[in-house]
Order: sequence, then structure tokens, then C-alpha cells
Amino acid sequence: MIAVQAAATQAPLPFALSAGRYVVTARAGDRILQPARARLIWAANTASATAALGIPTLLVGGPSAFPYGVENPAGKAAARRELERLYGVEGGFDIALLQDPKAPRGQDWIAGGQFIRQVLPEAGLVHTRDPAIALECARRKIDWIYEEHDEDYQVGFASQVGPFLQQPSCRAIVAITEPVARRLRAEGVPANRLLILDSGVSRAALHRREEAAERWRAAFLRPCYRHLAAYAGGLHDERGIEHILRAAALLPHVMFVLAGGSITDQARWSHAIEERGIGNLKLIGYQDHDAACTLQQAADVVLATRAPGPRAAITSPLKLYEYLLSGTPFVTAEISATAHVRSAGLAGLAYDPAAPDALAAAIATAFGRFPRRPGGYAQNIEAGLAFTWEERQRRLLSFVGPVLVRETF
Amino acid sequence: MSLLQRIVACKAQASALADHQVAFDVVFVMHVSSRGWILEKICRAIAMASGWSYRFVDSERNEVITTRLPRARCYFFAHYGIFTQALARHPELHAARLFVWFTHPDFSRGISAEEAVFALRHAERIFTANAAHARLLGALGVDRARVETVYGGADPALFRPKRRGAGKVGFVGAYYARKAPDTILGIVRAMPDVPFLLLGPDAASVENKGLLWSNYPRMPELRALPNIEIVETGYDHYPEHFARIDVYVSVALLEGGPIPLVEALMSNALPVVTRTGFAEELVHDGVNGALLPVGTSVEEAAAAIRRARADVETDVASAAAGLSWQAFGLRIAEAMRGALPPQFALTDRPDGGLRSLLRQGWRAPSAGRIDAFAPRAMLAVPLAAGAQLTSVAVTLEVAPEPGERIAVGLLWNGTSLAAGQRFGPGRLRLHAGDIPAALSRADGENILELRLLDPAGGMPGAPPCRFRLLHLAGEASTAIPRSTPVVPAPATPAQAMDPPATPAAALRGPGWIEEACGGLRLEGACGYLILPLDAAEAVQVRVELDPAGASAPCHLYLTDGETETASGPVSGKTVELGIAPAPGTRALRLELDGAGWALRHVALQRHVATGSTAAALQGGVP
Repeated sequence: MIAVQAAATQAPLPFALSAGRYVVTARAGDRILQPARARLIWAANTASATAALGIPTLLVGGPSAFPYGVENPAGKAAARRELERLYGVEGGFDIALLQDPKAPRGQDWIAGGQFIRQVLPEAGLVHTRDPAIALECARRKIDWIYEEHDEDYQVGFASQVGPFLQQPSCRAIVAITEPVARRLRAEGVPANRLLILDSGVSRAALHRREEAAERWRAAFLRPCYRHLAAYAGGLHDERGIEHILRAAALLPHVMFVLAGGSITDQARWSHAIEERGIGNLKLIGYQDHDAACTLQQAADVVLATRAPGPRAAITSPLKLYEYLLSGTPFVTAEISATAHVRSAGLAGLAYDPAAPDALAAAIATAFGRFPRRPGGYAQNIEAGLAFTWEERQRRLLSFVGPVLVRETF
Repeated sequence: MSLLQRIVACKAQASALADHQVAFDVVFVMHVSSRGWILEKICRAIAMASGWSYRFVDSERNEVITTRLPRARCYFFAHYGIFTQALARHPELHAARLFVWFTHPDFSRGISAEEAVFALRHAERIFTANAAHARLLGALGVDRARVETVYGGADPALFRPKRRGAGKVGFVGAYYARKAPDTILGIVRAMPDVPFLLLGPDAASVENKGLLWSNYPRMPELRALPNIEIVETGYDHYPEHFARIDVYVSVALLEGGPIPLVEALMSNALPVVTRTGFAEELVHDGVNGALLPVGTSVEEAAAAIRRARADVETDVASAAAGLSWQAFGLRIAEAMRGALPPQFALTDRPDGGLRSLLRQGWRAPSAGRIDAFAPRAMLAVPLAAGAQLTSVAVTLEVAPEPGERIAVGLLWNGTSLAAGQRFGPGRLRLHAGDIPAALSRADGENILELRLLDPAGGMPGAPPCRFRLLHLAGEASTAIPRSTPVVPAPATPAQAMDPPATPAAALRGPGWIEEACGGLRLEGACGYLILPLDAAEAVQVRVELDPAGASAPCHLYLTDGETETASGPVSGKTVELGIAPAPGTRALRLELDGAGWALRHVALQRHVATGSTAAALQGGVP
């Protein structure tokens, strides 16, 4: 499956935007960036990947993330640098920073405000995760793509947008997993508009950071640890952090480093490791994309844990793809979303998330079977290339086809 | 609220982190406009030399750090302005070790002298580009013992000395008003028979486009002059252009360095420079270049340039010997590492010195408490490079269950040194002496581990295994060996200058090169010795110096951490300093400021109620 996807990258892109720009925005009201906010990472990387394919692209978000004015060119340049720093995206796309006075508290803008007046007039195609924005586009016959990631605010999409799903302006409905696609079909989304796409991974993860990785190894492994196991991502219960704590208690010569998580979750797990006396686990908080990639390259093994339960069925293994580009052997939970990676003959192992101590056993096995290699395991890196944001956009836009000039209002 | 009030309020919110919450050893903070220019180079030199994990944070503004500040043990600020503002906004900084690079004083923009000094008192160490700025900070009220001068450098592999004769007169640097561009224009215009070269950054190499010479309003006039070549390029190409420069000119009004002066000296280009930054410390007027007054006239500068062009023989490259970026980085990294003195005693108090050593297994320290939560709790114990721990003592407070015992082992770099046990609550003291030298790490980065031996714990669901750290003391081999005490048994004044000698090298801090004869020569601008001391009412120190490689007077400072005695400019070979140390003072710090100077002999005489005793710390001259 991975080989097939990699070969597809060579195909020419049957997509054209005859007028306007490709507009990307996750949800109305969102800032343009915020640490650890998955849908904003999605938006920035989607915009970057689209621009990398040569399509004029506009990323839309609110400016409240910046403690300085962004109205002038210098401010916008600063905002771009911050996007690059935080998410590791390359430039090439323009940004629109919206602020509506009528926006509710905690939000910067609304779907029916400046977005309509400033952004839609120059939009050729709008790519969003917000049903409200999809609806605004549909009403004005502006071509749109909607992505369903099973978030709370997306509930009821099909019923809200239902009458417009059959119209030509609806170019694609993206489901993040097969179970999500099944649900959308059941809710009335036409099968010919539906496409299943995993999340993507930034090509920036490919960049080797050997010197920085060695420094991190030196810092984390001294004086008495033999191996470094790393996890990057959220610290919600569903992520299987409990498995990592159990593994850390069973493998005292392994240093476990967890990057990511909200302040609240970090505090909760910090309390847990103190209560249990686990000294070989660090919670280093959210890291910029570059630092997170460095950590993955520094590790002997990277962990894609998941708690068993219904959420495991609808998860997208975004981090696992990033892990692949790091070249570091992985240990992943046996869930449906990772099945295609687990069967691909890569440097990695799986564990049963329902067996409490299976993770520790898998980690110990991985150390022996896949010793650390400078430069990483080539087969993992090669496999990861199929999941870049550019490849994802290529598949999506191939599905969409040409976007012609259309009378809008 | 004023800035100072905001700093105080911010400090009140600070709470320490546990080590398991720390991501990096050090985070470097600078303004984004420093990307590609000297302040970034300074930070990178330190980062590379440190061997630590590090992260760079570029702020878009000076008044606030606009990006996330990763959690780190240390923060290094490339400018005191952003440091001062950050102290008022980031409580986490107040619980970390703080270091500041003091570029040059400019109290007219944003941060006043009072605010800067107040903020700098929060820094563990402040590094200045030249000794004059160090003295200025001392005069303004910054604790002089925390200020260290480290000269910037250049890469000796790239900037190679060449013969002078047919080269140009060079101005080197970015565009700033303080570089006196109108004077540069005037000089070029006034010397039509002389070929000039202006070497500056190109747009691709600097984030701050304000540094480009195209911003100079009179650039068209300068560009139109037939006798100047203007080269704007990346720093990688600077060496090839320095190879074409015979005379380097700086008419700047304010500098920390200037760094191009070091590059010029290394390239054997004769400097003609205003008395700014470290110019007076590296250039001896009429010997290895010319010094001009700040605000020099075109005529005065032109005359000095003509004299300099006529001198094609004087070797000036030796004045830059040792001033490499690598040496610069190593020097600052060593100071940041904070090696413990040969004898140390640390306590759990907030200022007791233990907190910055905590590594895995300890809770975030709260007021007066350092609790271990894991069965293995670590301390990083930085010793001077090459030093070996000879003895160590740790005091814990333990509280085993009634009828139970608690046993704790003491390990040094993974090797067990001692173990102890206690029944019932109370203090448990662990001690190890005669520790084999081979157990200490050559780089001084040692780990002391306290391991709970009984009851074992740490499995999921098990209760936390706790003990409390109260005190850590130790001795390392760089202390004076017991067989040759620093302060012998009561001696008479007649004997005072002839005591058993101790190698000065054994007492040195960073900044020295050991000479073949056994003396110590300054590697850069300054260095210091730690002089161990028992109780004394007053101390007299006689220092014998060698100015062989120096081009300017040196200064000596003697401090006990509270008070300081300064020598004033020293040109001779012997100087005496006296100080009355505070009660309880265990060591004095003797600092020598002055490039090229060497230390030959130090004699220490203390005055106690019953008489005087003395010791000599001897270099290579018996």
C-alpha cells in the first residue's frame, strides 16, 4: 500500500484554479496559530502544501495570537516567522488576519463577518473544517471542500449543509478515517463526493538534526540510562499515557521523554509520576515542530500509544507518520488506523493496548531488534514520504479536478 | 506600575520547576533582528562550546518575548534590554539561572541605567565585551564579582595573517548611526589618493534589513566616490576581503568590541580605531596601531591612516592570539557551568546552592524543602575540569514507618561510595572519603546519586519513596592538599613571605593558560584565582606580574563577595592589595583584568587576633 502511494507522487496534478485563491481555514473564530492546536497545524500545513504545489493560497485566522500589531508588512512578516517556528511550515502562502468586533468572547472572527466581505470575494476554492463556513460558501456558490475530523463543533454537518451537498460547488467531503466516512455516508453525504484522507506530515521532519539530537541524548541519558524512548503529542487519557507510565516503572534503565500536552494534563501526569515514584520520565511540554522532530531523531524508540476504546477507532495516526520520517524505530498500539503501517515491514513493533504491560515488552524487544542507527532507518523514512501534506493535497486535488470560473454572489 | 515594580511583582509569582519538567539545559533569547549578526554568533559560540542541549528563541519585540519560552535550567539573554523586560513578564525566569551578555551601554533607548542595573542584579553572571564596561557596571551598582569580561573573537583558521604593502584601507561592519558614517564619508573624500574598502553585510545574511548600508541617506555620495570599493556579502566571505586590507579603521562613537578589530589583528591589518569598546585593551597606541578620540575629526583620522599605511613591518597578529570564537565560547560556557569551589558546603535554603544541582527524582523545591519522590534521586555536581572529588558528605532527613528502617546508598557517577540506614525518623548522614580519582569525570560534569536501598519501591501503585535533602558538602582535588596548608600554624611576619608554596594553577578559575615555566598567562581579557581563607581580620595579597605580552596596563581586584578592593591601573611588576573580609568568609577571589599579562607569584598574608600567618601561591618563578 505504501509503495503504491509513493508511486502516485509522480503523477501530474489534474487540478487547476482558474480564478481566485485557494483559501484554507479550520474553524471560524480561530487564531491563525496556537501551540498544540491540531486543527491549526492542519490549516497551516494544508496551506503550505497547497502553495508548494504552485497554487496561490491564503491562510485565514485571527491575530490575537500575536502580542504585537500585525496590520503592517513588518507585523505580517513576524506572523509568518512565528508560523514557521511553531509548525515548521514553509512560506509561499499569504495570510489574512481577521478580527470582527462582533465576534464572541474568546474568538477573533465570525463566519458571517469579515470573512464574507474580505476573503470570499477573492476565493476560488475554500477548504475548511467548519460547517458554518462551508454553508456560507455553498450559499454563494463558491467552490468548497469540507473535512470531517469528528470534532464537537462538526456535529450535524450533513444536516446543516444537506441541501447543498449535491450542488456543483461542493467539491469534496474529506473523512479522516473509514469509520467517519461510514457515518457521513449514513448521514446522507453522497459517496461520489467522499474521500478518506489521513492527516499529513510536514516534510520538514525529514531534515536530519544529528548534532542537536546527540546533545539531547547526552542530556537525557546521563548518567545511568541506556536508552531513550520518546513520545510526542497530546496527553489525554485516550492517548495511552498510562501505558507509558507503566513501561517506565518496568524499565528503569530507559529514560522516557514526553513532549506535548496542555498545562493541565502535564500537571496531572507530573503528579502521577511523583506519586508513583517514577524518576525516569520527563514531561517537557509542548515543543516547536523542529524541537519535536529533534527529539524523535534522538530517541532509540518512538511511541505511538493509544488507550483501548471507541476513540481508538477514529484516531488518525498523524504522529506515527512523523515518526516514520524521523527514521527512528517505533512502537505503536495495535489499532485499526495503524494497521497499514504495521504490515509494511518497517523498523517498528506493535503492542496490544488492552494488555497493561505489553508496551514495556515491545519497547525492550525493539531495542534489541532495531538498534539505533545514525541517519535513521531508511525504510521508515521512505514509507513516511507517502504521507506528507504535499502528497495528501495532491490526492485531494486530483479528486477535486479543475475549478473553473463560476458566477458567484 | 513602573518596570521595577513589575519585575518585583513578577518575581513574587515565580515557582521552581522539577527537573522532570525541564526540556533544555539552556535557552538563548535574542531579538529576531540579531539573526545572522554578531549577537547570534556569540550565542552560537557558547552553545557549541557548552555541550548542553539548547534552544534559540527569537523575539519579535524587545519589550516582550513574543514566542513561547521553552522550559530550561538556564536562560542566556543576548541583550540586557530584552532581559530587563522579560523579568517583568516571565515568572519562570526568576526560578532559573540567568546569564546576560552586556553588549554596550545605551541607556537612552527604552531601558534606563537604573532599570538595567536592577535587572542585572537578578543575573547569576553578566558577561561584558570589554573591561571598561565591566567597571562601568560595577560603578553603577552591579556586583562586580558577577561581572566577567570575555573578548569576542574570530576564527584563526579563516583570518590568516598576511604581509602588508599594497592593500586597501578598510571599514568593516553593518550600518549604524553610531558607526559615524558621515566621518567615514569625509575620510574617503579627503584622501582621494588612498584606496578604501567598505565591507558590510548583504540582505541575505541579516534578518534586520536596517543594518544594510543602503539605509545610509548619503550612500549615493559615498558610492559615487572613485576611491572606494563597497562589498556587501555574507560573513563567510569576510576573510578573503580582510586579506586585501592593510589598515582597518573604526571611527565608531560606541562599541562593545568592535569584533572586526580582532579580525583585523588576526589578518595583520594595522588598526586605526577610536577609543571604544575593547580597542584600548587590544591596541597600544603607536605600538600595534593607533587610538583616536571618540568623535575624531576627519583630519585627525586621515593623518593616522597615512602613518599606518606607511608601517608595513609591525606584526600585529600576535595581539589577537587566543582570541578565537572557540575560546570565547568555552570561557563563557565554563563560567555558566558554575564549577563548585574546591571546598563546598551547600544547603537546602533557597540561596543555599543546592537547588540548581537537582536532577531526576526530586520534586520542585518549595520553601526550605527538597524532597525526593523517586527511589533514585540525582544531583549534578559540577567541578572544575580535571578536578576530582576527594570526599563528600550528604545529610538527609528520613521518616521510616514505625519499626521499619530506611537505607540509602550514595553513588558517584554510578559507582557506590557509601550507604547508611536509620530506624525511626531523623537525620541520616552519608559520608565518603578518599574517593578514587578515576571516579570523577575529566570534564567536571559529575552526577551524585542517592538511591533508596530499603524499602525498595517505584512500582506502579506503590507508595512514593521519600527522603529530604538537607545538606551537601565536599572537597575536590583542586583544593590545597592537606599536606601543604594554605594558612600554616601561627607564623611570624618574618616567615610570612617564605611559606610552603602551592601551585597557583591549582587555584585558578577560568581564563588562564598554563605556561611552560609553571606561571599563568591570561587567555583572554581576564581571569581569577580563588584564594582559600580561614577566619581573618584582614588580608594582604602581594602579586608578582609579568607584563611581557601586554600592551596596556592591567587591573587587579580582590573581593570576598561583599566588598572589593581595586588596584587601579598597574604597569609595574608587583602590586599589593588589602581587604578586610566579612566574618565567615572562606575564600577570596583575586581577579586580573588585562590582555597579555601573566601571573608569576601570589603571596597571601592574613592578620588574626593572635598575629599574622601567610602562604604563597607560587607560579613558575621560585
